[in-house]
Amino acid sequence: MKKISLLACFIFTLSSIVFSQNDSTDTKRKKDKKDKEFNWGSIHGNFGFDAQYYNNDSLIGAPNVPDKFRANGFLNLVYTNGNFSAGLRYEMYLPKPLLGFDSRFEGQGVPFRYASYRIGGLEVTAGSFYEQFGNGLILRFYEERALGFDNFLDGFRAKYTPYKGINLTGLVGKQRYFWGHGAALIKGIDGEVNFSEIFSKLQDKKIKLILGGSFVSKYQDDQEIPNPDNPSQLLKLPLNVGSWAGRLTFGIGRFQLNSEFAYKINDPNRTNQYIYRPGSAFYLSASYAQKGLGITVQAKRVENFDFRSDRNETGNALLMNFIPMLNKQHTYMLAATVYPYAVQTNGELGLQADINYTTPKWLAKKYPTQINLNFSMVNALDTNLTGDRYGYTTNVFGFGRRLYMDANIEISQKVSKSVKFNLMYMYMFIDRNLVQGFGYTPREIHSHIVVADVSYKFKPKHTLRFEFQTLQTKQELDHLDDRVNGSWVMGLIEYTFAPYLFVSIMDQWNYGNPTEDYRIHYITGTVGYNFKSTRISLSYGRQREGIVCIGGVCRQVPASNGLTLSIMSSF
Amino acid sequence: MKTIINFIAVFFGLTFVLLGQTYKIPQATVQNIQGGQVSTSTFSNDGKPIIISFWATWCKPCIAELSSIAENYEDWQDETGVKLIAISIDDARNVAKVAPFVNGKSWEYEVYCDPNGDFKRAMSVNTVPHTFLVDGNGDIVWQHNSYNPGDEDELFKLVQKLAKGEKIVH
Repeated sequence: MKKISLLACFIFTLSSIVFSQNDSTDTKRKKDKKDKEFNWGSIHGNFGFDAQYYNNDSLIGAPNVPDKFRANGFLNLVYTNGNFSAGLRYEMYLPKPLLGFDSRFEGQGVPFRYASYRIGGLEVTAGSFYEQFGNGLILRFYEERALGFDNFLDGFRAKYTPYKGINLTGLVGKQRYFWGHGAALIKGIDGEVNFSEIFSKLQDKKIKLILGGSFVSKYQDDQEIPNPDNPSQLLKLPLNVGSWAGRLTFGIGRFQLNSEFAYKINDPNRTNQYIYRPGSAFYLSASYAQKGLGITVQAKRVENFDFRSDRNETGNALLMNFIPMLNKQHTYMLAATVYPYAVQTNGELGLQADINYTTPKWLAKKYPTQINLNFSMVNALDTNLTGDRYGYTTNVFGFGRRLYMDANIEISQKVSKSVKFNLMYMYMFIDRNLVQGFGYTPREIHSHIVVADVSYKFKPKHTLRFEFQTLQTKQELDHLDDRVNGSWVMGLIEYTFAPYLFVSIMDQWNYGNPTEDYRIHYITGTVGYNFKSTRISLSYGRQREGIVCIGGVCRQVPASNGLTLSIMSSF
Repeated sequence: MKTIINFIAVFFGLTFVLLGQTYKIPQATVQNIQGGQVSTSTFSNDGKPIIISFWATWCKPCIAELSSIAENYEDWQDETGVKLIAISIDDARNVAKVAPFVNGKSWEYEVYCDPNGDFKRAMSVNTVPHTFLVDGNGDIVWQHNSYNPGDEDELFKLVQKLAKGEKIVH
């Protein structure tokens, strides 16, 4: 509370300085010309509110919710006046967070507040802020509201551009931990030089060259943690854990290369079973682009790189970095949510190739065909256990067990002014036990997914859209207690009246489940209303248990049955 | 329950007070598709209207919206001089795919990446697609969230109004 009031004082003082500055310049102007008014700046923001009323439904495995009704809400306000801006966010989770969100969010308050000022090439921020160094391998503070993921830093940040093409950032602070802060103090610096902006000769030759580097460290007090090999002994913990990363972007003509390498000193923590092995991460992306054709090839290797501002934390809490997943971000329901992949920050090797092609006008006649081809695979590292606190040794280029593979083709075609369709076929492999951390015995699933998505605009503002999806896979007869087992079909009908109204009904059916009781229809109906930047929707029905993933971070969502109200708005 | 009702009341109060307000494009740093840093304060179109559209490579309605506009983009430009700035909110997972994706789709838009959502937050965007209309003075005069087929016709009517110098009433 003390901190909040201090910050409020700070914001108030700063804003009064800004006001008085504007005031003085304005009074001067008023003396010259009497047509200028005092500048009050502007306020804008956004708002979100989700409430759910829960029914009991033991068939789908929905947990009993004694309070029946729960709601999550937030309101962001941003005040801007010239080079000054300040903002805050109120959050509320009452009487408890919605099912699937971390119960430690329960309550309400204003966790996020900041003030920032720009002068010349310098920008300073005090309070809460988000940040990313390079690709985020050693530092990324961000927010995924739909996942209940928020790891902003509370502290101080300065960004400085001494010369066009040179950018420096320094920061210090502690991370958000529900309604408090994480244990470790984080310090970081980042520098980036864009040579093509400094040397015009490079620009003339269409050569792009950007080099960057960063250093991040965390300090956490010592703790008494018994040695897992010898419980009578305590572990000698590193209090300061440092990490660094170097990156390169190089482009010539239509080719572009982006790469980053990161290293972290020994960081014994709960997710790696307190081993003393250092960590490393490597990311490489190469792409080619011309009109009508785009090709991207990516590779990644991650070893022992879970990085958090508390050595005892797990799950999504207090993550300091971001290891990108290298597979297509699927959006069709059965492809995205039945067997999702979750990134293995403590060890994986991944490859991906992605091609986008549009048929040229002479071939397409009226409407071009758009094709996307994508292939990705992820393997575990090839490791040998050493049997000591060092953990294991690895073969740098060795592939361990296959975790995931996905090959898919998607074709989009407009047929006439009123009809469009999208078709997708995908083959997917996943080892559920390895990916979800359920053990080393293989649980391998091969599946084939087909999606047809057709939209028909029968009157200028009226559109009907149909989606049909199926996932074909073998029954797992040794997992009869699993509500996700065997083949699925899914159907959706959606009617929209632009720009205001939409109505949809959807059914997902696990018709191939070997347990007859679990051949459940998950039916949901939704009605929504859009007005400019406000969207209100109401849905009723069953939600399947599963993992929801956005941008590589996932959360477990329990099954639920009930009525959901959602309001979202920007102003 | 009381808190919840208060919360909603405060929200609607604020919305009514603030909805009629226009504001300038806020300052934030985005990346051009070559990876260089660009300030949003440099966004301009010589006094003609700008459409700012937030999208992502994984967002089906966004791609539907930008593809529909792309079909008529040349006509829109010829008639009104409008420019569309597409802001991709793809994170490190997909950001390298943005330039090949845009080329693969043959879109002629000015494209920037906002991989950590700095500009998205500065513009108070909840979800994609989210489209803003900016007048010749750099004031944000209209915004819309989500996309339904046919929305692009409404958007173009507003662009035509702006190009003629008419005011858009909220």
